[in-house]
Amino acid sequence: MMHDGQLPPSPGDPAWDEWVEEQLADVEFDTELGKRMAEDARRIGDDGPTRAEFHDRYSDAVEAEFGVDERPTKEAVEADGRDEPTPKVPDGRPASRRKVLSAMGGVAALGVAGAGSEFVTPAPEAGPVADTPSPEATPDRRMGMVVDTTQCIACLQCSEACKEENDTDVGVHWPYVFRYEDELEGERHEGYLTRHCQHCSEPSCTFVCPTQARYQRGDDGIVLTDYETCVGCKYCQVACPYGVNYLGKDQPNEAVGEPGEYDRKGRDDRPVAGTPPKGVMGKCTFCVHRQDAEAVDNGVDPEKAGTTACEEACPVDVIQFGDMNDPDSAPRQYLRGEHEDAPSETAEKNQYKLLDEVGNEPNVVFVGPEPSKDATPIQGPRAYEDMGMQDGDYDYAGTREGDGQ
Amino acid sequence: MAHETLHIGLIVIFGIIMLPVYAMVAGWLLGKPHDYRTVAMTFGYIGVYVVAIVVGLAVLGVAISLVVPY
Amino acid sequence: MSTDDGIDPNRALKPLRTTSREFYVLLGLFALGTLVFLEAWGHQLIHGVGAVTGIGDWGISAGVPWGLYIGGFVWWIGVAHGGIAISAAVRVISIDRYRPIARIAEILTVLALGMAALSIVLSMGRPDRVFNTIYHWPFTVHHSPLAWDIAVISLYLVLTITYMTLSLRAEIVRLRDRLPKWYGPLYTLLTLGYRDQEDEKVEQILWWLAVAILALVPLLSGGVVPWLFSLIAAQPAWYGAAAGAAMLTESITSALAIVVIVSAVFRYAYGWDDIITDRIFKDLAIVLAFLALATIWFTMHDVLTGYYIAPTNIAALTEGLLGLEFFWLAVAGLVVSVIVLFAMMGWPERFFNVPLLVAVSALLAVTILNKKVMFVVEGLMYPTQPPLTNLYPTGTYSPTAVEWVLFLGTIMFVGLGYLVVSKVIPMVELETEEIERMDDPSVEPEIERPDTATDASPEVTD
Repeated sequence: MMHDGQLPPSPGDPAWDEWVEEQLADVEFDTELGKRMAEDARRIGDDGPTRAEFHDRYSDAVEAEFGVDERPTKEAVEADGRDEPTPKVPDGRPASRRKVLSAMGGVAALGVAGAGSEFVTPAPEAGPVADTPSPEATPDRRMGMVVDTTQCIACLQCSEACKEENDTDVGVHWPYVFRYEDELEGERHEGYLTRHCQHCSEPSCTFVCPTQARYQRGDDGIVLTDYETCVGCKYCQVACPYGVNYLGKDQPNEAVGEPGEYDRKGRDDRPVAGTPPKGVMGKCTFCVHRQDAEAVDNGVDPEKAGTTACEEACPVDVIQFGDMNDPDSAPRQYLRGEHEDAPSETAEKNQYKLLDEVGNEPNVVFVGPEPSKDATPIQGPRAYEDMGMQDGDYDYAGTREGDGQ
Repeated sequence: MAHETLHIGLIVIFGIIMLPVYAMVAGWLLGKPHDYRTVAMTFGYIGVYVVAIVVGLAVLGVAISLVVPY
Repeated sequence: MSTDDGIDPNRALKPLRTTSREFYVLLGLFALGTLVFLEAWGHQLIHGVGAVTGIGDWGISAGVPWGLYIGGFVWWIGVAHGGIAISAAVRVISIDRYRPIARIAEILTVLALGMAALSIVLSMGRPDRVFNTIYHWPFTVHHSPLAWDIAVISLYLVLTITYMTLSLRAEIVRLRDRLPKWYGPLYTLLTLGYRDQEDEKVEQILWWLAVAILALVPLLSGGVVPWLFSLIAAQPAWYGAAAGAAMLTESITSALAIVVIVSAVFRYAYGWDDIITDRIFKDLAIVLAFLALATIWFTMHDVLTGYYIAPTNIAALTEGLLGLEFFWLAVAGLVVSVIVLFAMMGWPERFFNVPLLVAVSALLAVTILNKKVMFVVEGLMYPTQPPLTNLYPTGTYSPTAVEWVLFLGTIMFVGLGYLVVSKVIPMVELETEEIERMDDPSVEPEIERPDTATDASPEVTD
């Protein structure tokens, strides 16, 4: 299931030329153009052209070759306030839009269709799902995550780290790692999916709350619960389609987690961080105490702002937390395959949002195959009990990996 | 839906649910016999009961908070 | 004395003038029950709702966040409607025939709404903060169905109590010297500023109040309360437009059933066979028959749409529903009730009698409670959509003893409420003409029938 993540040789390397020819051999478009663009693309920002210059330099050739120029550098040019022609689909070409984009972007920028193709499914529109600003893009930030399920090894360290950081109750998992068995293109497939609160842009939990305890912050979009106002009616839990809410019971996990040594106050002076007290509702807060550590003297190292405990703990960099509105943020870069932790074909892989059709506009983007309606939970390579944590109420029919699967 | 300017709840409550109440009040004020003193008395009753509910809930909350240890 | 000549106030005021031994026994039982309730509630408050109830978080914990308390809440709202609706219908459509049960029904509404509110408080994790819902209402009303609920229930309660107290004014002023002396200050308060001239206007005000209350029945029991559930896309068992009509039908069914029961109890306790006549019960039986039939009809819709090539998760939850013994108990309850009620309607000489009607009504009331709790709980056992439905375990729920005690306590409080109120105000609405005839020497005073309620061995009247 795992791809080998082999990195391409760098352009200075003599093997690079040969490697590019090899990769572009199947592509019916101009190889030379691709090579030249790739070389220049690598040099953007250093001694090479600026993004806008790069875009302009090749725009005529690209349009002549493909009939359309949808390269990501278009944004840099648009920022200059220039008009772009309406994109057209190439006439009379059998090539799919995806192939056009992948060839055009060049080896350096977007990676290549090929190795790891088992995860490649056509992107729905132009470009990967979430590498576009949210429909209601505002100057404010929109905190979100990218979770690369193709890299996940179900080590459960994200769950453990969150529990240590936030001291959640027994059996409560703000990020829960689904381990499941599914069928993918006729073959049995074992998948892992880490589910956090999606910190939706249209969070139904905030709409139904009768006391405004559950709210969404305007400046960064994080959805939080005011532990002093919440009356514990559980309507947020009822209205959330993702099942991320838990009623506080004051039953801390003795084996993992210790009382948070930070002040629970967020930057708006409401107690929102850490596990909820008894009788009120709580859920993943995107480690808001870290995000607010610069604004509020809450005892958390301000260096941790911009990170979450789960992201920090993941040994294979599955989780990227950041501003989904900012094209240069870690999650956005990751989706384009530009992030240092991103395997090169990331942009070609299936990217989706969970329960997108329910309409809550979640801000977590998953990379990898989406579990189907027939996905069944199984025990993964590691059990929650192995780490001193209580799993969900599962009755696993499957066997553990290695037990003669 | 989000939190737009004209919020759906206002329409539900003040545009739909309250319609019978508007009709009722109109009937009181416009219908014969014209007796505004009695209508005012009725509003007085309504006001007293609304206040009683609100105060009652506040008192209930305080009473419960004496029992709740957390 | 038949109701065609009007009700004899002397008979109607009997509860206010005499108190039987049975009354004190009941009062003692309910007082004890109240202590048990308080003990259980205290236990729940100290240890927390999560710890003492069967409530749990849906999702990986396979719990159900809303259970018997919320199911009970929906049931009580339904029960509240039949009460004042009968009273309002009497006034608006001028069906004087049901006036003898109008006040009993009004009081049911007030008590049931109180119990609905109590049910919500019982289900909250931090009930000491209940006032937060009022405090934040101007903001939450914009988007929260719960905030709408709070508003409309309060509105309905206020309108009902206003209706009741306004209609009591003329009555109490005229009956004053026949009413118990120790409630004097209360009567003075109720009749504050009374003038004879207000009577005509008060009648007009009451008429419009009745219209508004009737119009609010579908907007509350078939509107705001179902919307709590049917607007939630995350719960496909609830979501959709059908819940409103179905819930309204079930609500009125349970409401009328309870009105039948309470009216029968008063009739039996005070020998009011000729005041609360068989005719009234026969009419209510007919309405109940058709409402129960309609409830079966809505259930059929639910099952068929969930069974016939439904989306995977809907099919799963319907299968779950059909596997629940509670479901079949509810169906059986409805079917038996419909059969008995239609038999009463078709062959009244053979099948109609008040005790049987009371039994069928009790069966219907419990059946509707069952259906409402099932709606809440079963929906939450099968939440959300694929792939999360299949990745999460199915929820389970079993109410604990604490939940049963607290819920049954709310039923007991209605009984207790009736005991108390029946000693303070007339339980049968009396018209001014009837009261004035009491003192008219030209009218022969009725010879009172034997006091069935104060005898040591009460006769069973038919």
